[in-house]
Amino acid sequence: MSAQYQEKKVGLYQIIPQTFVIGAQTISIIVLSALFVGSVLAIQGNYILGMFAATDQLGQFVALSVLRELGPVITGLLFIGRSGSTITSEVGIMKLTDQMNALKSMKIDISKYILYPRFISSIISLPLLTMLFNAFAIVGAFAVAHYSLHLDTGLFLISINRYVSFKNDVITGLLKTLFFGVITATLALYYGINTTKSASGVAEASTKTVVYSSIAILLCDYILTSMLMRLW
Amino acid sequence: MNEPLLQAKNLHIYHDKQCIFRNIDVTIEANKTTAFMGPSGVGKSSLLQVLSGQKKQRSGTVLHAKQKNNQALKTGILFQNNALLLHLTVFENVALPIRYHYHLPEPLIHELVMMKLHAVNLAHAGELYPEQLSGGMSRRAAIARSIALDPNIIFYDEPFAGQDPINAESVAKLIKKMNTYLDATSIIITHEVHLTLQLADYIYIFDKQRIAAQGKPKEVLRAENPFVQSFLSPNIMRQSQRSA
Repeated sequence: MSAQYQEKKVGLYQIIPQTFVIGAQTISIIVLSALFVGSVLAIQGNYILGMFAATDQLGQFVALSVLRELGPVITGLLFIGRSGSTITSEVGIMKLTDQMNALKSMKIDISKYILYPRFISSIISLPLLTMLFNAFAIVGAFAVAHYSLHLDTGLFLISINRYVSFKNDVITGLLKTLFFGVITATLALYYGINTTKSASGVAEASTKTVVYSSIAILLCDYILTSMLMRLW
Repeated sequence: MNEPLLQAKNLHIYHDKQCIFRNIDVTIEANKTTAFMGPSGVGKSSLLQVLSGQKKQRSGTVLHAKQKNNQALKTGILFQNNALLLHLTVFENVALPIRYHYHLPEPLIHELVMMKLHAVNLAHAGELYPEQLSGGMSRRAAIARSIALDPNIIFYDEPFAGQDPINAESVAKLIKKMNTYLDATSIIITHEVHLTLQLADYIYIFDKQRIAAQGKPKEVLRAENPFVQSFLSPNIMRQSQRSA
């Protein structure tokens, strides 16, 4: 087996622990936020739809809002705050404490060992977390509709089933998250690698990641939504 | 005189736009311990980075002797702050370069790593993370990692810094042991005059972008350069008192 294969293998092994740190450890935040967002949407939706005597459409209202926009964007923003800043601080600390120089001195390719695993893990994690967010937001809305608003939950589910399109609503939302994952990972790694050697270096780099990634995701969401609406 | 393993000629080293060394020549003999000494900020670490290939010199040449089978020299570096990977255990830190560069069965990797850990008296600490180690243990773990690939030449950046006299002494013994067992060449950057005079075969003392003195320990001690005398004497006095 060649040394090159071995290098690749060591790098690939890093994807699993990184996906755990970047993705799995974010699950609790995503689930909790999703339940609250879904609950609030149900209350607001009930109020707005009630003005038109259309509360039987609450399921559709919640599902479309979550699947098309809120799910990908809120998950993206939460992901930046939790995982993007983690990536930047980890990489920044590795730079400040000479861990990167140590890897270089052992002739270990930093891209393969540090950068690619985090990049790939972000792209894998974000769509999965978004699916989770979508599911729990709808569950939250369903629970509020049933226990608090005392609506007909059968109609809630029927309206979702009737009006939500897998291709137009679910896939377009998840497609966006692939772009969001690329943006977050790229900026987080960039600011991590370029952390300055000072006391506030890591803090500054993490702040930049959160601020610029958030803006970039919102801009990207606007561009993708405009394009996808025209195409599909 | 032994054959030089590493030879640097007419070196000009800059940090950003500031000149650190101007036209210096350094020769490192094989299987010997060479020490670089000088006041803080004189640029010893930059010189080490140039010699170890981590940094480029502005001008001049650094020649590495080829090994018998015409392969490039294998180097190991001990960083000033140890630079252990914080997310890996001591065992995994030492195993990483072996895993990365060679395809070996797991039992053999285990055996190789345990050999290195035994050599630095850390066989019992393989499962600990760097944050769980004392200063002396971290230093020894970093030494174990720097010898993981059996290097021909080992660079030690301030190996005694932050160590109490007993730990510093044991690190010095460890460096000597590595030279003997690995048939390696050592380059040490340090301020610790007392230990260095016992350990080094050849010493360079730097001041103001140039070499202020060089030679065997006894020769350096006899140097008439006032800077060298003022650098060595108080340090020897202080460290002798500390040892006493």
